[in-house]
Amino acid sequence: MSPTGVGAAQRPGGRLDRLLTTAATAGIAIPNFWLGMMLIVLFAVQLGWFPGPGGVDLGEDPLGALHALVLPALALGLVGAAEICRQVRSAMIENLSADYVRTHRAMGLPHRSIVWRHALKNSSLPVATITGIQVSHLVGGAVVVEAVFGISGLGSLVVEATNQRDYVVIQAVVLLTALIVLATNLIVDISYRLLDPRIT
Amino acid sequence: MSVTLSRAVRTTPRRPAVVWFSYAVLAVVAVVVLLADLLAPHAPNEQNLTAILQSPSWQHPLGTDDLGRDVLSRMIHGTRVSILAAAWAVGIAVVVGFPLGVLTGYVRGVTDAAVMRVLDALMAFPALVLAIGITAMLGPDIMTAMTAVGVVLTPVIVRLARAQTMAITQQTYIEAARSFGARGARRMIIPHVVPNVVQPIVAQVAVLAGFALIAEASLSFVQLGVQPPTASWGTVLARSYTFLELAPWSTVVPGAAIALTVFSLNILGEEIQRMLDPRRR
Repeated sequence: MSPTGVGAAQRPGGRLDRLLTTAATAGIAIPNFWLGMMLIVLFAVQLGWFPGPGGVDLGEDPLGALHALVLPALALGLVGAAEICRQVRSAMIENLSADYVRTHRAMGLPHRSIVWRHALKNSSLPVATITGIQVSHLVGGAVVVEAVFGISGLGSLVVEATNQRDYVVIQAVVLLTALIVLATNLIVDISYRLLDPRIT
Repeated sequence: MSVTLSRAVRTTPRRPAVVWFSYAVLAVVAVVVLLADLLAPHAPNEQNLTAILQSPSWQHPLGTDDLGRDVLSRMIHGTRVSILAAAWAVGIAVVVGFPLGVLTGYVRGVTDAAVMRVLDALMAFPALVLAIGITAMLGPDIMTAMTAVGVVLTPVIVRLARAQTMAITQQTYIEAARSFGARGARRMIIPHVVPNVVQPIVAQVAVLAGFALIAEASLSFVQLGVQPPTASWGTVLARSYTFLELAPWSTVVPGAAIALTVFSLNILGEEIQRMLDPRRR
């Protein structure tokens, strides 16, 4: 989703920018499980391009399982994509007005290289931060999206455990997801160093 | 600081159409919440087993569900339930989070460190998963579910209020007030600090309300929130999903209602923030 953010940042306040930021705000507002339903109605029921609800076992049919994962992944990913688009946009706007961009321009570097190689790289730090936060949202959203697509994952496990009052399983799932979030945040913190050598 | 706000409103350039659209959506939602009983053509739980899963018609503008209940009426009554549920969650977050944030930001030191470590731990849990965990412990019920959501949202308010308080207390006028002997909650925090912390919180509340709405729908969808037969956006959506292939239209409206309302709340939040941002005036 970075390209859309870069596109929007070219002319802040321009027509493309306003269109894309509105679209991104709309993307954030759509409940992911409802998006999943709409994708099922359109692509599984009407067009028949993808299998409907009911997961395919990864061991039996790896390709089929991947195929079946397209719709849930889309449903789950859109919100994050919209959020990242907004982050890239604001970071790019800031970077494109920075001194080093003017220097590059004075040196005669082509616009494309300035935008994609230099400004985008410097905009990646806030994107890393937001990606770390998104993981937490993704894990939470997966619970409901799994219910929509009938996938037996952590989400359906915790819902089932709740209905059976299986407290130990619930505790385990809650702790495990917290661990996933913590691990991702650790990776994000490490990646800061790689993205910006000035950070020690 | 109320002067700043009114001046900002007056000199703000023409608002884009999308902002007016959002205000209109929120106004419609507010009217529906207030006048649900007058607007709904049928009782929300009135069953008619001779007219199940009907397509939209004049009598049932959004069709009927698998028990012959009017989907439009259920949506209208569900709006009230969903909005109140979201308001409850955000209310808890503000009532607990705001004083805590101002206090930790003002006092700092050990209190601040202790409270922030607890909140850091709380924030490590994915919001929805933790809400499910809390709901599971206390039993599935909309009040406990939304209380759990409120607990999950609290750290957001605390952090914002704390950061704002810390920034405010560095200002010269606070120093001046202190030099006049203003101390404590009644002389210092309430008259001088709180008014300047409120504004960014208001913008955040709009955004959090959107999150709480989605949380209500999500939790109700997996049957941990609003319990059937009570109508809410989440339960209407959950019910209509079970007959998705027979009546796909009845899943469109509840979801679109959620998406539109959350979108409008986010735009409202952005607008408030824009009005308060002195650089964009």
